[in-house]
Amino acid sequence: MNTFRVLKTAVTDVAATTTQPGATAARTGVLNLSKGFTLQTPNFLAPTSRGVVPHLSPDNLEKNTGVEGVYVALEDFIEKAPQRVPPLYTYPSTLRSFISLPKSTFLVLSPRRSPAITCPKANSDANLSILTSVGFRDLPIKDYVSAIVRLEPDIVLGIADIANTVSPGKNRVQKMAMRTEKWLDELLGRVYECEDGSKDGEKKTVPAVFAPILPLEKERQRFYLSHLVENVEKLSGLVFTSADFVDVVPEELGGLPKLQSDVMGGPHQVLEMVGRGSDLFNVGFVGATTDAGIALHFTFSADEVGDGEEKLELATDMWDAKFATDLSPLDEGCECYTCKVHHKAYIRHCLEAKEMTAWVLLQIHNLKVVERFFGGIRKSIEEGWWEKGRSGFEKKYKSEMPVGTGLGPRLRGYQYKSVGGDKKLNEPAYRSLDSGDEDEL
Amino acid sequence: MLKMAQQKAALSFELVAKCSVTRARASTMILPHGPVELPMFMPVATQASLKGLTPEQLESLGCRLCLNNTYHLGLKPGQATLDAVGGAHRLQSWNHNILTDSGGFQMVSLLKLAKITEEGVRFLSPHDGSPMLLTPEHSMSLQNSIGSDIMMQLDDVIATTSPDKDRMVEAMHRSVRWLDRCIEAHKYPEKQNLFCIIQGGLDLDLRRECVKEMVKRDTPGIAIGGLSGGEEKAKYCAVVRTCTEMLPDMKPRYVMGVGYPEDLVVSVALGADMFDCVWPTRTARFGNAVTSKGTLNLRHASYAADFTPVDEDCGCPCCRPEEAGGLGITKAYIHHLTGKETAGAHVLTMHNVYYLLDLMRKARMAIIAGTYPDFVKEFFGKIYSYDKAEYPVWAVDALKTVGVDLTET
Repeated sequence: MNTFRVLKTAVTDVAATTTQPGATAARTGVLNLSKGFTLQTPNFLAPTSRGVVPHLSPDNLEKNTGVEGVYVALEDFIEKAPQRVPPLYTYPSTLRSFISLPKSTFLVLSPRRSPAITCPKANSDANLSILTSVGFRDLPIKDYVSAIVRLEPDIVLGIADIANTVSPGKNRVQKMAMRTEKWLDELLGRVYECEDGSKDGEKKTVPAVFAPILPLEKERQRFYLSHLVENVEKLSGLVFTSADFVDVVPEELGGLPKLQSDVMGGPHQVLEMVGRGSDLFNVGFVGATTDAGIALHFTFSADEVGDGEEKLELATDMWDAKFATDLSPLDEGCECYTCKVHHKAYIRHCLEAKEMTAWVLLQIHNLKVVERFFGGIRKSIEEGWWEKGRSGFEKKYKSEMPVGTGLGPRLRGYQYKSVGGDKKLNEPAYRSLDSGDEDEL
Repeated sequence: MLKMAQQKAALSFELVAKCSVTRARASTMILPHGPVELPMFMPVATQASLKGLTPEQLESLGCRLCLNNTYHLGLKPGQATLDAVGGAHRLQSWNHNILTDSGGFQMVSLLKLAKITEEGVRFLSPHDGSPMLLTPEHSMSLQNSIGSDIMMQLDDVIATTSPDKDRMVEAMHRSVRWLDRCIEAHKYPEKQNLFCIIQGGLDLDLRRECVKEMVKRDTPGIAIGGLSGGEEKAKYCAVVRTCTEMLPDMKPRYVMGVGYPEDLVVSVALGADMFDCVWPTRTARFGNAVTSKGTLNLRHASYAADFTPVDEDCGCPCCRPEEAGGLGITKAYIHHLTGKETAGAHVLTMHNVYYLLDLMRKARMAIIAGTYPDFVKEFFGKIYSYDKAEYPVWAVDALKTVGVDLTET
């Protein structure tokens, strides 16, 4: 069985947050998944690209990070379907085995990467528009639904029909809600058919289904939401693509864990969303920070912070030449592999030399900082100092991440959408010394 | 005129076994950062990092001696930084041995831009185009700053395929003169080992003359250089054989720039002990797996749905099944990642490095057990599915000269 239990809700002195139905305060909980995974919340998921947490080989992920769950997109695996059957569909085992995911890590399957690149073509009743490494394609809804049986994710996210325009019209909005509802029903139907269909009396373990909440005001997805309420027994959680719509959740669904799938804004955004009752966070900002060559170093603590104190940086740009001979760790006292074994000078050297190891070491460290950050949040709620910790954090740290000054690793086509007239995103790796440029030398 | 030697060496060398048929040797060399077992392959961490691997991962593969490139470290992070940090071991948190080249090989690869005089090599920095001068003294000074366990002399390298005989003779003699300057300039002979490099192109007499001169200088180890530049394999083998014939037993012999598995196995039979090459790590980034059945291009569509391990005979962390504590990575997954996610390159780099380290470990065991000729036969048999017509002629011929006939059953 997939269950979620709220352990403790933060005592809050801000009366305003409790007036809205469905809106909750920060809370701790425990998510039990049918395959035996247990997750304390609030907690984070690591986004993956093509099945890997970027820069980390599976051995590094297992040995050097505390990542408990990963967010995997099916669109990363289907390339030339339907012309060519994706290898994943013929793979005799599960998705976790295909990507060599460590045994102790659970897998969340989503149709699309996070954040998803908007596709030029609209979704249809039967297909979701996706971006693969060979271009924009269609993902048939039935493929996604049948894939979950063999791929055996621990959590599967329902498919949201999100319009590819900023402000969809009335008809489109209606369609969004209807399709999302229909697609969710197909998914639930398949999942529970599998559970019932299993023999020998024992119920087969099924993935936890998280239903999407649309990025629409409550009124505009009213029917869809009431459909969710009717099916609440079959749901194990809710997933949001935008933090702004947490408050639309009806009270009846308040006991489900809430997953934020696109957390790009950093720790302040996380705290705001925890404060509004979100439980799980797919932390896209960590990878973006790592790619920029930036090392995180914030903590969530009960320390007293004076009002007038100068705010600290959330992170440091490691490209800075001042670290060239700095033999101190990225973060004094950090227990991660990078900080225990390496120093700033090496990370800075590897960035400067464009050696891949730079991003490996930064990713290990940055994930550890986020792991500790969530540990701090949970502790604060359990021990009753959440509000104090949150306001202290706001007073202590600057609101924005520092801007990276160096070049990141090479960008790949499926990671961004080009717009006409764009400059080349990747610098040429080499140029000829004895060509025309030589005169200038 | 002749400076007699290098009095000190920072290594001890013990010959453990010699093959009774071929010239293969198993030995143990104790370096400042611990012992290494020869014959061995040394992966190349050009800029103080092995292409996305952590030192911890490299260590887990069994590597105890890797290369850094003097020329690259001289540019980034630069000598001043190396001095401030306290050398390359400290820079990359690698507590095992490091070997550095002299920067001389860049003379072959960047010859168009380099001008060689008796003083040294003048060339333009490929990073910013500024003129640079690499002299034997400067190379030693850089390598002293790096603190490598084995340093290489600066030599006058020209492509072995060069038809200019006079230039070849000049380069050989100049390499000897530069060795003398290197010995003179080497600040820490008690804690860093300086190896000489035998030059002389493909001219065997020239090589012999060079060996005589170099051996007189009594460096702690001896390298055979200038090879692996596109020469015919048969000529390569002749040079290695000619040199090892004359070299003293009690010194390690390093053939520079060699990394194909077949070359390693044949060169060991010809009496060489150490090898380095960027090929296994570079080719991994292009999706090529070095395996006991030859090199597989995993980008090829035929591997897209191949769910077998990269190499079934391999015990590396990537090929070992999950039940045996490995990652159980399939060819299909490498195909899925190659060129798209760097972690795929990291995993395959681990495999390729492990394969070559392990190949040499197994060669060593075979030499000690007295079964090296069988080892060689099995090795070629597996790659070419025992189809003797497919065996490369150069390898068959070279092995015949040391008493192994691959064609006999």
